[in-house]
Amino acid sequence: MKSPEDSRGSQQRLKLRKLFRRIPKGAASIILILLLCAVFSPWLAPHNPIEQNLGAALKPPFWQGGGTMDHLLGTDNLGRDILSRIIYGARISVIVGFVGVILAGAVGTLLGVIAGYFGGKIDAVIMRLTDIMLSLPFILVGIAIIGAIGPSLTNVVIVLGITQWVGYTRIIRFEAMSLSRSEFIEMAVISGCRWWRILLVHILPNVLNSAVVLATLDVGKMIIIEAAFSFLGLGVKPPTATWGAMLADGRLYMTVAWWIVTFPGLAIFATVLAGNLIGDWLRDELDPRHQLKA
Amino acid sequence: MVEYPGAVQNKELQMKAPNSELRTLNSEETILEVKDLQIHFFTDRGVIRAVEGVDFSVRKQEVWGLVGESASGKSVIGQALVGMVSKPAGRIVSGEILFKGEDLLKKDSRELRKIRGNQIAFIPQDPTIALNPLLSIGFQIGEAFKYHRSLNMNKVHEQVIDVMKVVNIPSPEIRVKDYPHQLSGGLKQRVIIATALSCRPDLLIADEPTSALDVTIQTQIIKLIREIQDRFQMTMILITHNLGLVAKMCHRVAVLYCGRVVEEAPVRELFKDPKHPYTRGLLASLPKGEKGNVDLYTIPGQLPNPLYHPPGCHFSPRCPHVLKKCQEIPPIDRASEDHGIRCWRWREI
Amino acid sequence: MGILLQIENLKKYFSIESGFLRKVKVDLRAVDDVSFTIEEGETFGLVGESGCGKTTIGKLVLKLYEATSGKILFRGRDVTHFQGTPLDEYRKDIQAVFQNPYASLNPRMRIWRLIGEPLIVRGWPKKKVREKVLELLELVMLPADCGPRFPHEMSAGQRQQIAIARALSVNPKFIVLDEPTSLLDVSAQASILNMIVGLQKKLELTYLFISHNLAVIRFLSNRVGVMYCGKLVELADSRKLYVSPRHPYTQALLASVPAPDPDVQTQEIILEGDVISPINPPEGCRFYSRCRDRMEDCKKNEPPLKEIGPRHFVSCHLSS
Repeated sequence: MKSPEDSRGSQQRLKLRKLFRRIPKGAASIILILLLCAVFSPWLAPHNPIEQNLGAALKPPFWQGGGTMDHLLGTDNLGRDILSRIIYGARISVIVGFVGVILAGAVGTLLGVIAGYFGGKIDAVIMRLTDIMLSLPFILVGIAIIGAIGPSLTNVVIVLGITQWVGYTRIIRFEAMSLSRSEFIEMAVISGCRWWRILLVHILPNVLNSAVVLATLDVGKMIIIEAAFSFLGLGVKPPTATWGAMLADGRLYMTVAWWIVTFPGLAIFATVLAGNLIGDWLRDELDPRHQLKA
Repeated sequence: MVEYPGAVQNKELQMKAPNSELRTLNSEETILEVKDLQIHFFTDRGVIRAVEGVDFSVRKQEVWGLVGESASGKSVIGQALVGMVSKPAGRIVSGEILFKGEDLLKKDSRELRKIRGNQIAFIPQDPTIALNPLLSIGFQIGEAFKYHRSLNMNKVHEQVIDVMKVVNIPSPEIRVKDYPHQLSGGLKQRVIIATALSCRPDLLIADEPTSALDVTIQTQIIKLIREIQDRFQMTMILITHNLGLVAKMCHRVAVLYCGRVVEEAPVRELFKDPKHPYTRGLLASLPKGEKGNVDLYTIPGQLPNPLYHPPGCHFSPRCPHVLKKCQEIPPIDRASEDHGIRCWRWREI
Repeated sequence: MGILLQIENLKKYFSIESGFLRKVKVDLRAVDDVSFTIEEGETFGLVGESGCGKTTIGKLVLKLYEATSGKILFRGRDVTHFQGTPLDEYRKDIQAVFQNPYASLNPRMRIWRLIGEPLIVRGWPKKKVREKVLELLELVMLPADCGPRFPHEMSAGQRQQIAIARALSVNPKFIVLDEPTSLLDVSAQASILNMIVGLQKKLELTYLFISHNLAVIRFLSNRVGVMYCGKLVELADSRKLYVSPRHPYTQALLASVPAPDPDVQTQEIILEGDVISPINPPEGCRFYSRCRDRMEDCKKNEPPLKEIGPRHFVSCHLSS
């Protein structure tokens, strides 16, 4: 008689294998490539991303006439290798994507949990704050803040944290509210827990699922925003390679050198799409109602 | 000694109580026959054999009870009878459902739609979630009429008021425009029953029709269902875990355990002379008596994981009379024409 | 055996805003002037249908709600307005087991932490908590190895056992049980009920058992209180209540329980109409609209709770 208790170890291995089968492979590979590029850029990039070589400017990708194998994706107007700039640009995107998401997510989730659990005036205050933040276009906020403290990677991440937390708060608040009314919270009160313990130990871990899903879906958004800031000249200072900056630089040469904007554009597109796909998959995966599948 | 609350023992009160009608049935004609029904759910973690070879037949105008605990498969059978087994995970793997001689499982969805709501009606468990909160109750009751009878608006309205009167909804002309949230639980259940009755079905399947209701409302609904069943001579399948309900309403009963019928008998026989160890255990563990009494009997062990049913007789790990032979699935043996038991040892124990 | 818990004229009103835009404030009188006492070592059964206020009384006693007025006395001390440290102390003496085995345990906490939480919160060192948890697991007849597991790995019945173990961790004197077996299968219900009875004898516990299931209440209780629409309508020793109920609602309630025996006859008392809402209750007796034996007097004057026999109280003009 096959008893589940006996084969716990093999059952867990089976679970992991089944999980592996379900992960969206395409999206996961893109994210993996992104991470590899970010971490191993000095070894992967064929050239120095900021080294200018005016003699080799505006070279097309290798499959077009005039291209060389030396610069697989061509060069920009200053002779910098596109491929290397994209690989190094992944670093910026990863930092912005992950750190930005963690910052915004942490602030948003915390505020959401506090609003949901306490209700009343505290909730009202946080909600009004959310409304205010939502009505300010983040570009303007970004311009104002970056204008004041100067463009840099850190400052971009700060701006992201300040403006993007709102997306988390509403949803987390809703969940926290319904959790606060459930029986296990009442039991925690009866067991003698004070409010801070209830928030940290009981409510927060149970909203983490939703927060993580939101975060995954947000990574793409962060990268796009960074690209927008770089495009506007508010982002990381040149000559550091970021995908957004590449778009900005290449704008003027679109008609003669399409590759300067296309490849960074594709990189952004692929990353954001992958992030969204993983986020969607995670949301379904973590939803307990999704247990039954054909 | 009084065993059950409310039981009449005061002689005076006994004379006021109505006769407990001896539930006999004249008709022998079968309206529904289920043969070797197998319904499995295919999940990530394995196959759940919710219904594993169930056979039964229901006679015309009888109230047939299907009793079981969680994961017994009783609700799934009810869903299968109206073609509502959750897809894509749930699948009727094999078997036949013969309604008036025709196999429902061989019909296409168009034919099934003509039967569902029309000849076979279903009353679900929770009236609150079964009603659309955005549509008036008059509209919802009339939907079946419109679909199956294609009557004009006035006729439909008339019929709706009629059936609301049948289920004793007070002031139906006014309430027909009400929305579900304006009604209490009992009234909502009446609306559901009205919807089910609107086309005068031959077979009514009720899945725990009173579990979501307060106990004093339950009696109202039970009385209503009995009256309706008498008046329209409907056949009824009652799916429940409430043995009291079964005792009060059913003619014959089948007891399900983990996807198989373990015992079926006329209701008196089942309660007075249960032969399967599970049935006996179930009846023995019902709370009865006062404080200070002996402990309740408990069936040892617990319900098995639905993914891993024990081989052979599903009840064997918990059975006080288990033998090696029980590793083989026992067939249904007959103690009498109407009393079937799925146990190797029922004669000895 | 003295009186452990005493409830005096307890009221709990909730303020509800009704009307779509009109924002009219009405009182939902969940508990409306209820008094009773529970003696040490006994099981007090509180019975009624939905909306009668029985769960609210449980929550008031547990100090999950603040009383609108009235008093709650535990061992003679007025705990009605306890907060802070005295409330923490009170929470060592009185614990609870709730209805829903799926909702009353934090799904992300391991079982040993769930059971030990009342101790962890009170500063017990981890080692001692683990020891105590092992003791408690044995007490509720759960295997010792389920400590590191999660609630979703356990069956519904086992989860209630976990809830009971947690309640016992602080050695309380009094436990409020709110429908602990309503969502369990018959087989699980029997073993949990047996356990509840067994633990009471072993640990000298006092219970407030709240349920709508009359058979279960009868099996467990020494004394029973029947509630209707926020009011206590009958209060008596268990046997008296079941053998000769005096309030028409109690009679109807008892008659509505279908006995699992086709030969048993129950009285045919079928109430008309629906359960009254505790929002804007009527003037006189709240049961007036559904009572078969109603009189003119009942409409205007609310019957007081009167003693009509030894330890038997009824709130009904008929009995006076």
